[in-house]
Amino acid sequence: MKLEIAHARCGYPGHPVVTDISFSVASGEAVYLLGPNGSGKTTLFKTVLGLLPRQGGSVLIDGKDTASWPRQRVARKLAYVPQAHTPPFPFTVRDVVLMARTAHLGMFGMPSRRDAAIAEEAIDALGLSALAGARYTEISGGERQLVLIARAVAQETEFLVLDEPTSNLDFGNQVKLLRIIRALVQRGFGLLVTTHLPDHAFLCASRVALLHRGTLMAQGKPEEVLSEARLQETYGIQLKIAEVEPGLRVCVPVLN
Amino acid sequence: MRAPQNAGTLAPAKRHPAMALAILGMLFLVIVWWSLTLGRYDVPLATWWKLVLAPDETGIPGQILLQVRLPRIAAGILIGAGLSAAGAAYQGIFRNPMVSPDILGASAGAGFGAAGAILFDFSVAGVQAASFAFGLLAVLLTCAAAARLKRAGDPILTLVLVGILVGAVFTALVSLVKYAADPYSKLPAITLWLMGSLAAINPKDLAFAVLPMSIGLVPLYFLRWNLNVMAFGEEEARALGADTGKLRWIIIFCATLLTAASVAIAGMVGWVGLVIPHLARMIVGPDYRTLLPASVLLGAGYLLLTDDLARSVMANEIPLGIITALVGAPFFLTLMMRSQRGWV
Repeated sequence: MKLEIAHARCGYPGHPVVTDISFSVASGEAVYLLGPNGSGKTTLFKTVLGLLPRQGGSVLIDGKDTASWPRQRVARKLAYVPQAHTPPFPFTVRDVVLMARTAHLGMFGMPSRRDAAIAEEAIDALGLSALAGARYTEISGGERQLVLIARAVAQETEFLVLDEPTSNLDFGNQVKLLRIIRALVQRGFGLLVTTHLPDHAFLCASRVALLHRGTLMAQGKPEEVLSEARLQETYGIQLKIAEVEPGLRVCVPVLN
Repeated sequence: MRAPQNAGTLAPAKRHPAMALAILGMLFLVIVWWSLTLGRYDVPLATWWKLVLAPDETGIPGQILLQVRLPRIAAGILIGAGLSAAGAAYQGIFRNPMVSPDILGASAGAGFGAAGAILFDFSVAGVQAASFAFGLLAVLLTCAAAARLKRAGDPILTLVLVGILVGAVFTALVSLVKYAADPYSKLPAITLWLMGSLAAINPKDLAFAVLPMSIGLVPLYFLRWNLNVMAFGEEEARALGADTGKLRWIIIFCATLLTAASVAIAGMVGWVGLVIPHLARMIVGPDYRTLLPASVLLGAGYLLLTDDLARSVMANEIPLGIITALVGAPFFLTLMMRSQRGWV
């Protein structure tokens, strides 16, 4: 299973944000997308998900172009994990996860017992059983992010697209989330993840794509792409990368 | 891990949605029976029985029941159910617990269409059509203007404010129609009708209302799962596999049709579409699979009770719209205070 982005041009008519980008995500790997604010991460993301019309190039799933696919067919292959948010109504955690089954229902369909069982399984898999009956609007931000991942799992897709999944979490919850990302990769999902933290890419990424001003600066293994020189150029700051022990790299900014 | 909090709200019956609906259903049937027996003309139980067996032999009591009380009660059920379902649907599609047919301008638009149609002596179907056309126009204007103001800040507040503005324009146009109307014949008719009343319902009006009400209500009922999904916003709903473009239009069309049909037969009956979905959400939770049927049952029951008040409190009938506002607005304030979460 392979998700390929080939020569993609994304943005709005007459206002391209991202030009000529090619990369791919295979089952059982996590591809991390890094880049400063305004580098076009979100635009690229939304184009991959089919939420923004693409301005050129193609998004292929198993070699087939998704351009003409109906919404539901895309939703059976790609699940979206947005940043934790608050909907206007106090749905239960169980209801929020069950929403994922819409990808497998007809327009007038209702989730069946089987759909409910799939949702319950996803809730269990993320260790959320104790919260299943709680109101989604009243749990913590970290818990909400996990619920959204459970929802993506219940969607039964091959690929998950996660938008800065650690950005609103405390340190402990960030680590918990990184563990979950690893577990998802081991389960065979293909993951496309955006982040602002090179450390997270060092810990979890199979491959990294570095986005700068709408083009890909580099892509490949994290230790190759995320070099001191390249990160300094991309973000315009001073920093050091150290290998604390074999295979464990960290990135630290230098303030003076 | 925090335990779910129920402070200040009625305990949600989410685990037993079927039970909650059954109780609401029984309550509704009791209200219907009570409304049927209520009235200045006392109908003995024996007459009811005769009405079922041999409707022709019942004389005046039978005539009153068949020609006056039954149509009036059926209209009350339709209007209460329609306005509540429309309110619940608007709230889901706009992800905004503060909107309703009144606040989006739909009622004012439909009111203008119907008042104009009465001025020009349109038929019942003509009043319905004009009411729907202007109701839909008002909602579209509200949506379009709010979409252009997307960056103005809080989208919930923006939509509410734009809706009030659009409503104000159509209310002014209604005044213009009244100003132009003949003060001895048309003006009293339009004014009384705008206050909202079921007093003038006849079986023919009712027959004209059943069709648009069904066209509005049935699709909403079958799309109620998608209303859940739409509450998460356009982008997320699409990522979850919902065909949001199509859904949005079907739902707005149906909700506006329900509003317009209500306005066309009973005038401006305010607040029902805002208060009832909130009350239903407090009782059964936000899941539209149970919220929509619960809103329909509660709304129908509520409107019947209000109409019972309208026809029994004073010697002259009180216009329905006055009671729904007098009861609805303070009731809504109480709901908001009890919920402690701001919006219910």
